[in-house]
Amino acid sequence: MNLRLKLLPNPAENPKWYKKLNSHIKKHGSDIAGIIAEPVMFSSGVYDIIEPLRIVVEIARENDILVFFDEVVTAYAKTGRMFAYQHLTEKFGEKYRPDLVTIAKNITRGAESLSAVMLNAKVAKGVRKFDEYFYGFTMGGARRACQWALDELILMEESNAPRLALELGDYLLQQLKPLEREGAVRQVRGRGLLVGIQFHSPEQTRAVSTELQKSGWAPYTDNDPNTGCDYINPLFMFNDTRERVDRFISSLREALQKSAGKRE
Amino acid sequence: MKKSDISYFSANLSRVNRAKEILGKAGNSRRDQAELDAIDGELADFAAKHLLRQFGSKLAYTVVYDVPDFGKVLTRHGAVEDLGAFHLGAVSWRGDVRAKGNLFHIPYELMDYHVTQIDNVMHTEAILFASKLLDVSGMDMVGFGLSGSSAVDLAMKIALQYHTGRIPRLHLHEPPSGKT
Repeated sequence: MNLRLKLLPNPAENPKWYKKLNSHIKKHGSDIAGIIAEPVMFSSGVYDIIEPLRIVVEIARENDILVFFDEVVTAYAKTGRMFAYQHLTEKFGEKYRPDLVTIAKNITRGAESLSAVMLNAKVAKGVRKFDEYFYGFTMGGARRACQWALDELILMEESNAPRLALELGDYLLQQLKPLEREGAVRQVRGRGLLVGIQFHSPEQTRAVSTELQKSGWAPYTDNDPNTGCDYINPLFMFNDTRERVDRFISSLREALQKSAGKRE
Repeated sequence: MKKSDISYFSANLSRVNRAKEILGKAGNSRRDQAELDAIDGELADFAAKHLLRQFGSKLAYTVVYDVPDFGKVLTRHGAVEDLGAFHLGAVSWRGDVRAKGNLFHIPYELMDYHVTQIDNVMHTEAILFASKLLDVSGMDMVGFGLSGSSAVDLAMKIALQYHTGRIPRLHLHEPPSGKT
């Protein structure tokens, strides 16, 4: 059974694929320790797969397989919630809370080396019972890193970072969507502040990126060989302003004009 | 237990601050000592229950409350250098202290010298950060690494051990084992 896909399909458009996945897991479940997913696939082109993951979580629960969300990119308000899985738990309930969640990098805003793996009650209960559990990293959880992380978390909470990220992200998408309608870019997509602008060709992506850099922006530009997708992420933070978004849109329009010849 | 019912973070922060206050007094009464004992127990209980990193029911934790400045690491038993935990200057970590599996709060500056010998260290800041993170996320346990890849590595090991049954699959309504 071929389950290989470039992207997780929309369950409404391709329900058969999820049925295949369920059958496959039922058949080979004894060989499957867990399902790992990044709720918004960032380096693969900024694809929001949170809603499709709901079906994957249901299949995993049905087959007693652990679900593991890698939230290194999506955590800490990037998607408009402190953690991306909260979109699922708020809407559909606790059943959709992943069993394991990893976070890193932005937990100290890159100032110190620190990462964490969080366990839900089900797995934690087993780990507590397993009292010989001994695993860790030398210097993991070091004092200064944890102090940074604590300060960052308090700052984000006091600033109401998820709400700010959601509002600014919505505004950013609202300002970018006309470019898609005008055909200036191929597609604009994302959730919260994880926004991807896909262009018509790799040449256009590179040209726009270069022009944006000349205007003082440092967008994240990447190409994913699996999807063949060239895209730019403007890298806004929750505490950025609408004025800065407006300046970016203005620079982007200018960059698109200057690189018009690179579109095809 | 619902995370919304209890704020580990504020409770633990106030415990640490209260301990610092008691330790800062010129002399401690029996009542102070009893309060410190209780705080030690509560924080160690939290660490044992909720911090995955190198805990175990066999460990007896000692919480170190403060590092006012380099060389004066304050614990409820006195300064760390007086306990023989460090030879300051030579910066060594003695095996006898490590063997007790104590929870120590070590100045970060010391770590660079003896990276391989701090495996049983648990920091007050780690407890406080873990408390806050569990409050905000609604998750139940946390372990620390140094990078995204080390966290993923740890998560995959846990998933594998859960899959193979080394970490037992328990129903949430099962009573606790009595061990932490």
